[in-house]
Amino acid sequence: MSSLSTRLIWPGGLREKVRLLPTGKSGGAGEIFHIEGKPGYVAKIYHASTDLAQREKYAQKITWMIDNKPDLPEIPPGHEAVVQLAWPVAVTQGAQGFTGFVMEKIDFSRTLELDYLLTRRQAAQEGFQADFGKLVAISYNLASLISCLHGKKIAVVDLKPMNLKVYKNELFVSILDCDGFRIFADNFSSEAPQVTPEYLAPEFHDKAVSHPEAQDWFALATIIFRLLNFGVHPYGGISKNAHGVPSELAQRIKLGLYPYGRMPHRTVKAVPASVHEAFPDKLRELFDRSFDWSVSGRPTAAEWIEVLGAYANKHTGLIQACAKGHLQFAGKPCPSCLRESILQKHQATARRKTITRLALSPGKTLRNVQRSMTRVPSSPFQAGLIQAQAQSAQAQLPSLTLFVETYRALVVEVLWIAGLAISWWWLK
Amino acid sequence: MRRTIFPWAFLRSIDPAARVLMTTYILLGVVSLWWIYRPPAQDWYRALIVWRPTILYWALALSLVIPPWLRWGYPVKYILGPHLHLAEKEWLWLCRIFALVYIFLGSINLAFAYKASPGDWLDFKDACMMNLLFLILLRINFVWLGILKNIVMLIYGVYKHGASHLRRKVP
Repeated sequence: MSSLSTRLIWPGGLREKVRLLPTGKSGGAGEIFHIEGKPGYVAKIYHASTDLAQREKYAQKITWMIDNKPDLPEIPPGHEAVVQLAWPVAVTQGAQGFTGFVMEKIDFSRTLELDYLLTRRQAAQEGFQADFGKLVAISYNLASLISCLHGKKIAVVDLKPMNLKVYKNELFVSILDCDGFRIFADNFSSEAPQVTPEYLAPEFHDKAVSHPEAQDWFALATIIFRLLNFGVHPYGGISKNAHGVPSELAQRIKLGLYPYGRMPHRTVKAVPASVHEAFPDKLRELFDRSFDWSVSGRPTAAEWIEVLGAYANKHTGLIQACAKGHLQFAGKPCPSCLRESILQKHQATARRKTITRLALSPGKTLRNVQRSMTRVPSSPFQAGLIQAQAQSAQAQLPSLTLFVETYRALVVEVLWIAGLAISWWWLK
Repeated sequence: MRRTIFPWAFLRSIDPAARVLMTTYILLGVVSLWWIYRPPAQDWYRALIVWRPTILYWALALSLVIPPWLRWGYPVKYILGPHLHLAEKEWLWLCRIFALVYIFLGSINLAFAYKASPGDWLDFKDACMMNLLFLILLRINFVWLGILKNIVMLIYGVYKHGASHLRRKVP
């Protein structure tokens, strides 16, 4: 779409005519534009195909949002440019009335998607060295933001890492797509039909989200768990028996297959890569209350703030450095060291298995390794294993294959000659 | 390297039919060693000499019949070598034919030993040795030459790149 002219209406009635320049970013509901002469803002213009009734609903919601901006967590002096919510600040009007809204611009060069923090390597590629101190601070800031929204009777509902941005230096969190929030205030309410099954509380699967705050508490706990546990999903366990468990996370959430509780689950166990044992008891209690059906009382965002606040504060000494310099929870094993040892053990096992398989059927093993390399791994842990497997397979082929084949053929022939000698003795 | 390719993982990968054949030969080999180091009494010795080829032939016939019957595979594959590419049904019939031939040879050995002159029996036994020579020739052509070629290539590789490319890099 080329540039277009529109009228901005600011709170208080101030009107302004501006030119919108396309950013190339477009979503299901609308398109994002730069505003000429206003570098701190962007405009979201709903698609022209949006029907009148829907457009009217958007207009009412945006107008209410502009008048009811939540009180956000305080930003320390010097970090004023941090935008925690892409909250509407003005409406845009075309020839036929409401067309969209203006929001504060989030500087994408200073932020990274929270999704990237679930994989340490990806975070490092984006210029962010993640450690447990930073991750706890990010979790605390996210909980604070959610708590502020809930205080204003607003819920995110579709809360997921892809909708969240993290400021690399300040560690504050920004939430995108604010116009999709659920509002359940006394004087106004609006629906938020969009949900993501992997972050949807078990009670809302196959039905409408009737308690949006409870949904946010569940999604918040899931995000914090994944942040602290190297991307492992709280319902991503392994079946303990031969019957298996559903492969989709949504089904696992519905069935309550949470294996990381302080009490072991009957049918699922934790994935080997998990470091949940290194979490402090207070955090584990909150996770159990969030995910375990047998433990009641899902913690609210305020409870998360209270517990995480103590760990996010450097002066409490609840987070310390381990012998290798990683940050860890006081009185618990270092999660980074634990993770490294688990990964090294699995890489060694994977290499050994690969080489054994190579010895037994080299062609098939090489094909399998190549296939696993071309596939997108489901977790960073798997990616590490595949890399180790591929290295050991490629380093040893083809000379090892030839050596192994010859060696095996020689062993068989020695056995065959022994049989021949035995036959000769019996025939002579 | 030792842990990787010898012997347990390798033995586990062996076909059950080959394992039956190997077990038969291990038993025959143990008995051979026993009789070599502890020869039987004189009155048993004559019977042992006569029955020896028959026991071998019949034992081989049994080990060729039982595995296909139990669907464990075709031991004849391991007698002839891996160079032949036949259909399963053809291997089955080859197993049966070999078993019949061995039963026949075992029986005819007894017939020669007890009915013919000792000279004829010895000639018969020598003729049977030709079977082994036939198997050796088959093996040299289709297997041992291939192995020799691989060994030469490996030696050439070590000469050209050093032995490091064969070394295992696992901690």
